[in-house]
Amino acid sequence: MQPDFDEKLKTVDRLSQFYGIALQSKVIRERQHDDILKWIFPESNTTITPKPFDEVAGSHRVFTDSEEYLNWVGEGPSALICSGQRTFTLVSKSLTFDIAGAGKSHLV
Amino acid sequence: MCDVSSLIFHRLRQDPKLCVAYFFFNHSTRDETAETVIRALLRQVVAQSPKVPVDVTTEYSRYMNDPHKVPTSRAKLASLLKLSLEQFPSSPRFILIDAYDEFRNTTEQGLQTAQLCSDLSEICGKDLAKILITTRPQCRHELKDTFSDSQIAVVKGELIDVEKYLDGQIQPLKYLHDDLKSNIKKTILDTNQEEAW
Repeated sequence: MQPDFDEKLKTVDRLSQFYGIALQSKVIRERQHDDILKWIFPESNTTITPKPFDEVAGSHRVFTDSEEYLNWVGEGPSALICSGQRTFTLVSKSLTFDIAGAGKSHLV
Repeated sequence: MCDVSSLIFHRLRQDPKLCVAYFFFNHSTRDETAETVIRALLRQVVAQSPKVPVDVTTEYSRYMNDPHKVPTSRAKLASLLKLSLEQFPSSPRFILIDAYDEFRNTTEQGLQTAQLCSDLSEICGKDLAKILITTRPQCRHELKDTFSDSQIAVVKGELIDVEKYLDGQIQPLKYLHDDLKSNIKKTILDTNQEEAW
């Protein structure tokens, strides 16, 4: 019985060493992965990120249902150039101004 | 505010297998470069890849072991971006460029714009990614000439989106009476309707 137990103990020991090394490698890989990402482009607070889903969900249905958009997402042309100029009219028609970015990202 | 590029981003990201990278130009940045855009796109593509492409790791090691820390050139970064897109396991991959007309560089505008257009058109030409660019109308023909396989879409604001935006802006204003809120909203919506969106 004793030799069998010793053998099992050795197996457990070998496996725990193996898992330990694997875990260590994983941590090193992940750390290197993060370092590489930071080297490529360090995170910055001036970078604009997409607006939250809740703020944009359900908007621009005409555009997302358009042939141009559906073609682009599907088998159509590789590049889709979207433009639209918008003058936001406030109360009086004589008081008009362009919103910074109007007609592109912010269409309203 | 409704945002076309954000909306498209979220729609595409619903499929987690797709590679979606974006760059939103910031109108307050006056010294943007093509390299920044390429770096931002490359980071996102690498982050979404199942493993870091070997060429990227090699260039990273080269830089880290270089005693003079010679920075990676824009051309090299662009080539790494193309390689990373090429090696991405699923297709198509998508790149979203928002507010292209806000791309400003006070000292070398022409050069930076030309470099970015050249890199993006090569990506497009080699079918490495589908690219969506939002811009003011004045840039759309310049872009159309850059991307041979392209289409122009004119995006119009929708009244329902104006309403949603107004609700988001006016409703939280606690010091305004509800009647006044409704009045402001109605007036703006009526005026926009008359303007024939």
